[in-house]
Amino acid sequence: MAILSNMQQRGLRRIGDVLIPGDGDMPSFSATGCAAHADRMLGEMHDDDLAGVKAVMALCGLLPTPLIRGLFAMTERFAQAPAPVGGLMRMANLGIKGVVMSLYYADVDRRGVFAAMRWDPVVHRSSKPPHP
Amino acid sequence: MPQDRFYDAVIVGAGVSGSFIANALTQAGMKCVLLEAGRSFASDEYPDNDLDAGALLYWGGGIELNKDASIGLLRPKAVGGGSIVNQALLDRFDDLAFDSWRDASGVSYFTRAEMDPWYDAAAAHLSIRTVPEEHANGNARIFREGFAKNGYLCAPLERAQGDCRFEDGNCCIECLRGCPIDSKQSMAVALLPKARAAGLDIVSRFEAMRVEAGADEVTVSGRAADGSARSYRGRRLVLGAGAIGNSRLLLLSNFADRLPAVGHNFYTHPQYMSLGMYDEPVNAHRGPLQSYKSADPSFRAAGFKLENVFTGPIGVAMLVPAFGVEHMRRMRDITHMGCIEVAVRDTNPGRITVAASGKAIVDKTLNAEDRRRRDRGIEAMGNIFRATGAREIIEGNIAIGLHLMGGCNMGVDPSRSVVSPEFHLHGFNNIHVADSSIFPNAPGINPSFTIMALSCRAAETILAEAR
Repeated sequence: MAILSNMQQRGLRRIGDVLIPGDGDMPSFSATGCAAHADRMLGEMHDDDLAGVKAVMALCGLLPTPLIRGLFAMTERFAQAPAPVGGLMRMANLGIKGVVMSLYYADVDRRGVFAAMRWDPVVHRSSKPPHP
Repeated sequence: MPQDRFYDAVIVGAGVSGSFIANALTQAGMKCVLLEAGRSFASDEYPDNDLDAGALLYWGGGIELNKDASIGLLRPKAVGGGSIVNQALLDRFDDLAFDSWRDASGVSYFTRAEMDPWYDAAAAHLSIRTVPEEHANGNARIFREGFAKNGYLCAPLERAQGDCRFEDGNCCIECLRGCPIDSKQSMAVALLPKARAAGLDIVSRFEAMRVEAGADEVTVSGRAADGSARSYRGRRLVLGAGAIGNSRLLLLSNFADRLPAVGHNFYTHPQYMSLGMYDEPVNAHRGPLQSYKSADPSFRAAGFKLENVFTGPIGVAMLVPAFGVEHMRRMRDITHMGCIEVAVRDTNPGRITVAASGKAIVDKTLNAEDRRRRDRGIEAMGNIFRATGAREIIEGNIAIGLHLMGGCNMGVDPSRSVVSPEFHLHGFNNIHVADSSIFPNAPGINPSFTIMALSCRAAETILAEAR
């Protein structure tokens, strides 16, 4: 059974597009289809943390996009505040960013994210043949 | 079946310490089982993307946060432990670190003269090389040039590696997901094949949840990957699950009743990465990931060190401020980023406890002195970036804890420490610990080589006691 409900998946795509709306070179979060891989990381989370992520994604599935943007901007703004308010803001901020950025910037399906950034590290499993 | 046997030693945690001790005991003829919560990978099975790497190689799906979410803790979870995902950098501790340990613990053998033979013993298992300067990438050159222009001293890094074949264009940043060519001298390459050949049983995907200790027998209970309950019994127990893993297991097993210091004195060398944006490509992701470290006595005295380093796009995205189009604009320039990290020799001890759910809770903050050390390091990083022509500097404000130390600190006083100088839990002569959890405080130096050295010494102690 999928970890995220349809509503939570919708929320993930919406908050993803707030963080990564796409531009001329790089695709938007939802355009890459990367949200479909969410269960691969969420399935390894601690239960307490997963419950928090699911609650945030469900909320994002219900709220209008401008409000999602405003709430996320608030977590950015107060991320350096002292605990307990700052702690809650950091937790929400890092939780959202952690999921969204991990899915998008892993570029699992090679949807043009790495290509736009010219990100091209390699390890050759066998030695290159010597030049003739 | 391994759970039906009675072992000479049950070892929890297949990281650096557990692997070294498992190999030494098995080679000496003891029948041992090595229990690991993470998966076991062959070199061609490591994840090929950073999403799966985070999920499969670390606890918590990639990162865990401390109590106030000010530090992201990276806790490896795989057969081989941290040696699978780290850069295999090896440093011997200096007198400053050992003097501080001796003062904090009362343990007399914390000196370079006493420990050097154990470093040598550990090194005998590894291929250790200086990262070749001829293959230094653009990021390393920025580091070296910036140090020179500021009058700072730096030095090449030493690394446990075989032949990385940089001349073929290989990029060690890929090996943060496990080295696919077995060049990095992880435990899965350097120690465990020998131990397995000598008869070591390795059980992966088993999470130890409870320890019961009798006079002649120790039992470790937990759950396998399929959720089933299992137990392993042996004459003695070696804990090698790291600072958080060991503390959690002992707390869950009610050892704090007799060892009140369990979970205390936790340190992490909080690391902050800063990015410098350059007009020309830097390509920090190519070739050796790291080449240089600071070797400036003034940095050491001030309580921080710098290294040239980089991280993949996910890590960079977490550092880059803003979101939306502004964030993407910066990310598109990822190949134009230089990157340096400051590691703080933290002075404010944290504490590990366990929630009702069983999850480890880490209460750890920076005090004024730690923040001063961090700020000095960030200032030095800025000086390096400015001296080398960076057009913008992005100061990372997320602390990362990679070096997880303490929680079962070694010392002579059972009321203030957990592990004796002979590597026993105080009062339990058949439970041994030699990993980073026994560190009395933060050394300010990469801990890996010292964990190896301590583990070699601990293995000899265990064997001597068994004779």
